[in-house]
Amino acid sequence: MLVGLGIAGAISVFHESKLIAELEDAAMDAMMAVSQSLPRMSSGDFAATNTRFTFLDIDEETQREWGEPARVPRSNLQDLIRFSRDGGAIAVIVDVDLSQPTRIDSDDLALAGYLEKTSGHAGGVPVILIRSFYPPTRATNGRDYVLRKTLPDEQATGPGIFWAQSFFKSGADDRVVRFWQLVRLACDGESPVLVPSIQLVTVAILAGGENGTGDAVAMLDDLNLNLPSGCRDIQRAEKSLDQTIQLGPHRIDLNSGRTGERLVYTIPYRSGPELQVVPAGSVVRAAGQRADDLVRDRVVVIGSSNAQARDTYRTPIGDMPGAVILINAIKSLGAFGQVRAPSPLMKWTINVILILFMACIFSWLESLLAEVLTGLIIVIVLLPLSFYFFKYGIWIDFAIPLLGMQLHHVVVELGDSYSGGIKRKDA
Amino acid sequence: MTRKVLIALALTKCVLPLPAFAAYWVESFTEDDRLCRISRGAESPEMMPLMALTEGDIVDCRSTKSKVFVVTHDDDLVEVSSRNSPLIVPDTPEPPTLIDNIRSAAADWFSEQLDSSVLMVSLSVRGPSRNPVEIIGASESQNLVLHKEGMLRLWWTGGGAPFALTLADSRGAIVLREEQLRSTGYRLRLENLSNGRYYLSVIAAGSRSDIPIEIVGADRRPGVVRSLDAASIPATIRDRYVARVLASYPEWQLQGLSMITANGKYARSGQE
Repeated sequence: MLVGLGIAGAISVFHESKLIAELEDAAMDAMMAVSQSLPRMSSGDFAATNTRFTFLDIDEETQREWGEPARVPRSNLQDLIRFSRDGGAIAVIVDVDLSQPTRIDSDDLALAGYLEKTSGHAGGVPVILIRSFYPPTRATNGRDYVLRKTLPDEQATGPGIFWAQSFFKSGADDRVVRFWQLVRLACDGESPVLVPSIQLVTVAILAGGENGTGDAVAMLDDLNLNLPSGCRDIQRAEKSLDQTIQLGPHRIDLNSGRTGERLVYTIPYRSGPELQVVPAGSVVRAAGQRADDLVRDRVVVIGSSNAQARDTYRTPIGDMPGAVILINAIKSLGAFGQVRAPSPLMKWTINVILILFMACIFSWLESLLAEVLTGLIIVIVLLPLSFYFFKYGIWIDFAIPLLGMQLHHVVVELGDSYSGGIKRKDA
Repeated sequence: MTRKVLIALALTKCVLPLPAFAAYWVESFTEDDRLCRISRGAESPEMMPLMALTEGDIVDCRSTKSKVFVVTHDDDLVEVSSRNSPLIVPDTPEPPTLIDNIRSAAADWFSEQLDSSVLMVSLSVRGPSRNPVEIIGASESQNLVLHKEGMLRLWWTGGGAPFALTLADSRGAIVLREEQLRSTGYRLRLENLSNGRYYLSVIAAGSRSDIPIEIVGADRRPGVVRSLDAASIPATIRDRYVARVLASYPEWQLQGLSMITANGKYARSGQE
């Protein structure tokens, strides 16, 4: 019992260590794999939980049809945005880098003009555009938080346009995208600015209902109140962000740590009840007279899955384009908020009960039988509990007690062999 | 509590109606759409591209030349003409159950454990790569380079052209700079460099790779390499073994790989 508690305590202290973090990642990945697409993960009374998505996919065939351009043709992009807005989408997310090109052509200017002209009021369909960052080079003095200039210029767009970032974190070893970054502080010229994530802005819009854009603007204004005075302090300020915001029923902590940054994948990359994948080429080809059934009352994301875009990543539920990861992030933040562990009291109660059980079983039964039985307890009790609470964003980690059990068993075995050795010596 | 659940249910079902799952939809159709039609119960709605079809809709064409292209729930494209008319849109498929997911996850896991197949990858770059630049064979801590070899061949993956390459000496002064490199390789000439520690950087638009290199004299060669160099064996065989031996030491791997030329032969002293 004492050994078990000691191990549980040690695991709790070293919770951020690589081994335990990897175990927890693997356990949560498995939970997502078995929970994907289940209707119970998409039911709830918060609007963001029931949101349906359409992915206007610049896929391989579209890319061929458009003449394999090096970047997304701006005239086609404008058409896709116009189609989604006119078709009654809830919001349009453009997962295409709009940083200012070296050579600006008439299509660039036409798209910029369209966005500037139609973004003047907050009541229309909001459009969310990507702000991208320079990689650290000599030109940025090694800083990784300097913003690229965009076209249209951020200053020229009205309240109907939101600028957001799409930074996610992947595992260093397996490159699986698992964590999000809800906000980033950046340097725009010489001024510090806060760049929210796409999922944060979208869920704020969804949470606001009819006044969605107004609420999202208010939330961003609140976040901007605590900016550092200069670009030099950005890194320090980013580490000490401690604001919380309310998004519908969810309280979001901007400095939540590893578990709170975890993104829960529920939507695989294929058409289904929550996601409709439509090739962008079909939309552009049908210009003139086309039905809006596939975008009406949906959040539309325009992105690429073609190989040339190099925008496909590994996730716990399979490879998917960046746009579908964004869709999962919006669903995750909207439906589950931030993943959190149960309260320390509940966690320790579960731990103590489990350890007590295991200690009894190991002392009463033979080694192999005890191991099978303790494993069964985890499968029969802890797994269903974890599965049940996972929907509510509560993560009961069944991997850590499992590790504790194995370690406990090793310690007991070692102790037995040691005492057996002494007895043999004495004899 | 029950009341709350009922209100939530009512809100979900009535106030926030879920859009129908567009299981099937019309991708396009031939221009003469009068010969094809869609029936929805007693109605016959006008056919339009990107139109969602719901369960029970009937797509019917009366001519072989008139066609409707319909995308199914599996994202397959079906061509409907008089030959295979009518197409009746089936019921929306049920989402997978927990058991389905467990079975599928277990099958994936087993196939991952059992299948040792490999994936084909192309190392050529067309657009900018999201993978970081990585100098092949380089160690982050120590890379020993033999001055007497005269040239170090470098290759890297990831990043996107144009690349920049810099070599700085131990004090940080730049001794070599190459900009606008389009290829993913470079021949670093060692003749004008003295022995000592340097820092080599390959910089792409999205990432960079920095490694230390130490140019050393022949006396630092591993003992096995010295023995091979001293042995009276044909040069081609000796070079092959020297390259292999060097590539087996982490700190000499860069030098070892440098001796393997583009056509797969082994060369030393900067000759191919």
